[in-house]
Amino acid sequence: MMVRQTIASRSGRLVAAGVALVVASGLVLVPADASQGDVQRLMYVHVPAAWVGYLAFFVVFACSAGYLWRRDPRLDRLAAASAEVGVMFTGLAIASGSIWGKATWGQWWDWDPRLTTTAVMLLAYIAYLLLRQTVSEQRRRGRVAAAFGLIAFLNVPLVHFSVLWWRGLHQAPTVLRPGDPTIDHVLLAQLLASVAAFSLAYAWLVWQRTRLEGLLDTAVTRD
Amino acid sequence: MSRRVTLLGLVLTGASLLVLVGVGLSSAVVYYRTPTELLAAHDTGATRLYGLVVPGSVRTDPTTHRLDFRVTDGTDTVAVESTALPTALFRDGVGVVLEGRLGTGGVFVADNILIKHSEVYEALKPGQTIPPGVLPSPLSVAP
Repeated sequence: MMVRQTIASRSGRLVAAGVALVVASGLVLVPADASQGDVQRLMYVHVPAAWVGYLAFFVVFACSAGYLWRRDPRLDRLAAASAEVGVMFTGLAIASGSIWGKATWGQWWDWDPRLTTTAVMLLAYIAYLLLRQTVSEQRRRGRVAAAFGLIAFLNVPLVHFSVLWWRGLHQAPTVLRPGDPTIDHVLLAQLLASVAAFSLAYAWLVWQRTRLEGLLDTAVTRD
Repeated sequence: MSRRVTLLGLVLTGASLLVLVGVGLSSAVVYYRTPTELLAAHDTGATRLYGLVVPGSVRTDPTTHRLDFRVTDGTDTVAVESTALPTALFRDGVGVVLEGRLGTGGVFVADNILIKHSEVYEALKPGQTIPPGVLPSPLSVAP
């Protein structure tokens, strides 16, 4: 137990340092964008945050399917933790995107397909977390949440493809597109480093949240 | 067993709903129209128009705050007038989404000018400066 806690807090400090480092290098080290200037630096928060949202909700989806199949409570806890962290990062993606939108587009929000589907995605997973609160019996909660977790994921590919399938205000993908990414390679390296650091932060948060939930479940069972 | 059938039904229902929403969105709701589509439709209702600002077409009137320019999709060009204030990225060749309607004389009256940024990012080279916008923006830093 003690060893585990030491590993947890040390790795936590490492992950926090990694995130601080990529944010600092995104703000100061890499050159600004030639047409937008410094406001483009928000990309190094916005894109990784949105990516972690997708990743988190995919984990919810996979764990939900796994739970319905194996009924392993650890998968249910992992799904719940991943949904919480995913909601946080999706919120960050929307907030940072909104600031960028005000400076670039000229307004904070617009009901274009990408923004609308993202708002639906955020609300769906907030609903998932609320739904979990309404069912107290563990196994029943697991089943209900897993069913919801499967259905809610159907919207996630729509969020990604919305900019390709429909016209809108939001730009198309820069990196996840066929061919060479349409971004200078120095900026791309910074972006990928940010994505890596944010992904590690996601993994650490989910790991700790799952562990805590496991301890709580054990405590409840003992009572 | 019956629980699995219910679940499968739920998933299938959700999937078909989303497909319907997708098909509906792509055909019924068009976020913006191109100059060619707008001119072909002869529609004077409220709409969004997307085009690239024709280089050299921007005229500003400092007393009336009126902005005149043209947008193109490469095939057709529409003249635009507006009193809206776009961001500092408004410049020759940039993509703009205009909210407004086609007025008399074929001039599009825009209530709002949004800059649609492309997915291309280029690093600022040493010594290079960000090109100034055509207009001063409330968000741009004073030189």
